Amino acid sequence: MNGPADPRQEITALAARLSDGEMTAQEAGRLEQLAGESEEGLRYLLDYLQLHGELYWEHGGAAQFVSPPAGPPEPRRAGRRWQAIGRLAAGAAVAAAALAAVAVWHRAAADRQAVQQPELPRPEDEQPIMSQVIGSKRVRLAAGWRIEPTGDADYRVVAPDRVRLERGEILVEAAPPEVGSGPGPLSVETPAALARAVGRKFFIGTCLPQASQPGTKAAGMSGFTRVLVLSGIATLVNAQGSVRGENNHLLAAEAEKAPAACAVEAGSGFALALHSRLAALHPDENLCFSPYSLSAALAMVAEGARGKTAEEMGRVLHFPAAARHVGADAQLIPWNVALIHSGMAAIQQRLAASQSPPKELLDRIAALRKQSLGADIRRKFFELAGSREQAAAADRKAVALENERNELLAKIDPYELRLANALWGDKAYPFRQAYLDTINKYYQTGGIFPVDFQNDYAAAVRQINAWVGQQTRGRIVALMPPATQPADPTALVLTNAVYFKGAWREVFESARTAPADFTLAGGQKVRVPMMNEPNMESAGYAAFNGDGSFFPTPAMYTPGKTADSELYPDDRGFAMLRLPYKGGELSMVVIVPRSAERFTAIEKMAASEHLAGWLGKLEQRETQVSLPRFRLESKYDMQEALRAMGMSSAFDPAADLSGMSAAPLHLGTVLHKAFVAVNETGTEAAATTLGAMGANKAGPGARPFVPIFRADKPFLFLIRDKPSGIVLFLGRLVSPK
Amino acid sequence: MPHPGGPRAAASPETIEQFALSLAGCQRGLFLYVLALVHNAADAEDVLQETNLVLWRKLGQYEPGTDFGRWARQVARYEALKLLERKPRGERLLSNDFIERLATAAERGAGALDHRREALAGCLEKLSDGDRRLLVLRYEEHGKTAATAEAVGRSAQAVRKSMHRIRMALLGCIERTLAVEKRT
Repeated sequence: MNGPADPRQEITALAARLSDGEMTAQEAGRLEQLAGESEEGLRYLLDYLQLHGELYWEHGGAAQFVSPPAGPPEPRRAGRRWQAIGRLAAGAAVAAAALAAVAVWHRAAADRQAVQQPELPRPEDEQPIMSQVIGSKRVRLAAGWRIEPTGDADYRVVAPDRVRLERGEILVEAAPPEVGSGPGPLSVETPAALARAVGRKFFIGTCLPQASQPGTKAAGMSGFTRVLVLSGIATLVNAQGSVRGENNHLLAAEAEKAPAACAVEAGSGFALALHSRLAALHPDENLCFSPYSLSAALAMVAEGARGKTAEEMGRVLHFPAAARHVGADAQLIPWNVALIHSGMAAIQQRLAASQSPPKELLDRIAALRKQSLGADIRRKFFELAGSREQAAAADRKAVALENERNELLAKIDPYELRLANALWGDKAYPFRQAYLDTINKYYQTGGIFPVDFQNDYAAAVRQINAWVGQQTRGRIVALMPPATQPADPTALVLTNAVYFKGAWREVFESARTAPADFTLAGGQKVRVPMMNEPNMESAGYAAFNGDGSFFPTPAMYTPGKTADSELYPDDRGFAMLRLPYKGGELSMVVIVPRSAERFTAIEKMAASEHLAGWLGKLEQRETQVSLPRFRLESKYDMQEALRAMGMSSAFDPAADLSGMSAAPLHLGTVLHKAFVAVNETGTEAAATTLGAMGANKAGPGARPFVPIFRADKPFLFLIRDKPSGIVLFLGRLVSPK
Repeated sequence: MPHPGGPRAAASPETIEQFALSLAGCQRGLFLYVLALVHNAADAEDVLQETNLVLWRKLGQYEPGTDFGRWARQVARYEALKLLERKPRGERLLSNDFIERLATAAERGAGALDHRREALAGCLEKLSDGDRRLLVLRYEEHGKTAATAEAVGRSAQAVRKSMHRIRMALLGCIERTLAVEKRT
């Protein structure tokens, strides 16, 4: 699937050639055609030229090109100068130019303006938020709070009263209040728990080196969060409950009992096991499914399952030991499914938040812009008044505000992920209210619906398909064909549809896509449209030996001297590539063997706990990437695979779903439909490779090594949410069409 | 119409001050406008100088309170077209009609330049250090991709590609920023 090239991409590329003086007559004709055919095209060209002009003005020296005030200007070239790239403050150059003119001619005018200085508004001072510099970071915290990281603490301030601590330790301290009470509570999120601090001084640490990786749990290690209350009160909360501590109390929460970690662990184990099963059921076929959404849908059913049915479901869904229910009724209710629901809900909420920024975020962005403009006005004023120190201080303030605004703007890069999970039962068999309440609490995008299977099956199918179409905004239609009518009206239909559309952070240029050979596992070759990108900067790359051990790819090599065996593993090995989507949190990971016949062995290895370790080895580096353009649309009735995995009771008429309904219900059909399209589109966002340039210490003749990654053999792919580790899609392309 | 005795002879000190402020204040916008017509930054600098000269000579026609920017752009447009006319045919890649359309569109968009510049300021901060370094090097070298490539130890093609990516990122970021601001 190759849509028309993005005209903006092409116009910008052509405009760059025009402004660089490299354009041919033919290219000029093409540019006129593209830009001239619509107002939009013309605007794209002007947008580029403005950008080019602004950058040239700021850094190429044209900013010095201001008319001398004492007489007519003499034609001259602007001098070359290096100027540290900084913010192109609104009107800064204009203001600076005006200042130069006024300073020479009518200095008194500036003096008159200086009188107005005390009248300037200071909107930023009205916020009870303080800016502080910690190491190389500038952060904004609720006034009165101070944080001090230790060692390699990995943290970020997500809101003035909320800090996210991924790893390491921080000291949290509140300044003693001059009058009245101290600052409000400060929350510190960790992968294991949420710590809420009120008072003076706390030491919060989190250790989660392995357990955050899906599918792994280092022997004897358990991630945890601890809070040492030095002065004040802290509450530590996770799905297991909450604990409160006062002076000199030490609180701890285990990471593996954190709901999101439990959901990720369960989801990852289930994903790999189901992939193995589907691979066995559908040999030599392409596969594509969404373990994340299927887990969520089945967890809805597990909520209502009891006894053996529930036990089987929990095992197949890989519920972790932390979700084991203990107590007198553990046999009837073997799993604390609420822990999984809670984790799923947290992940879903985060994914949804990434797609539609909350109003508070937009409000904050707008407020920051106003404050930044206020600081800018102050800076300009002080510049005109000749008060350099105050101007510099106002400028620093404006820069800090702009930095924060930019950080927030970076969070609103959109992608599209639509889920439609629903359980459909005959209206003659109503669901229990308590069950409905639980599901509604955790799954906002899910649904439990009564339909009239018995009397009007066709209408029920239409209703289901209409709902799915609506939930996926028309992306998935006709999920349920009329032929799937269950023989038994007490059977439930579980529909599970997912649509994902993400734009690459770094584009594949359409012009480089060309037919190429793709070697099938049996050795035959087929032609595929191969996308090519010689310098993919944002890629993550790692190579492995045939036994799954890491193959260290060198950073530098010497052409003609470095042996190929030092650059790539042998034919039994394989390579892994990570391609980030816009927004940076989701990425596609592709695993391709060095030789096609090794695919099955590597696929099996991936399913057996190796995957998480491999993912941890990915390193961002410039990579030459070739990846086939492909589109997979799959539809499965998962019943056979789930039964084979050990979840058979839920599908039997004797299933115990008594937590769901008083009627004897059982699962009839689990329909899963997934759609993944991979093509050239995608662009922007920053990546860095230049940092490595200074590391050229490998001797004369050595050059940076850009590994070649060619997905021209059967490969595995997964789409993954990096912060949580959840696998949204998993699949393989063995037979491109 | 210039006054006898030079442009400043007939103008009051206040008018001269206002004129100078307006001229200095519109330099950046004028440069961008000219660049849209001549495309080449060095040519745009020359046209800007010529335009400044003409405007200075026309000081006597200046009336404080009128739209100085619009007047300056009219002069700049004429100077830009003059420069293009002087170029050999082989160097005039775009048709006169297309240049006229660009000029009209650039005039229409002149009022939005400040907003876009503000957005660009924020977007530049979002770039990685590496990308910022590359951008500075590229513009410091005034379009010499080969020199930039040599400075960073990469191929010219890789630098061109990186520059395209960075520019597209900046353009997209500007659009998003403006869209968010419009919504809020």
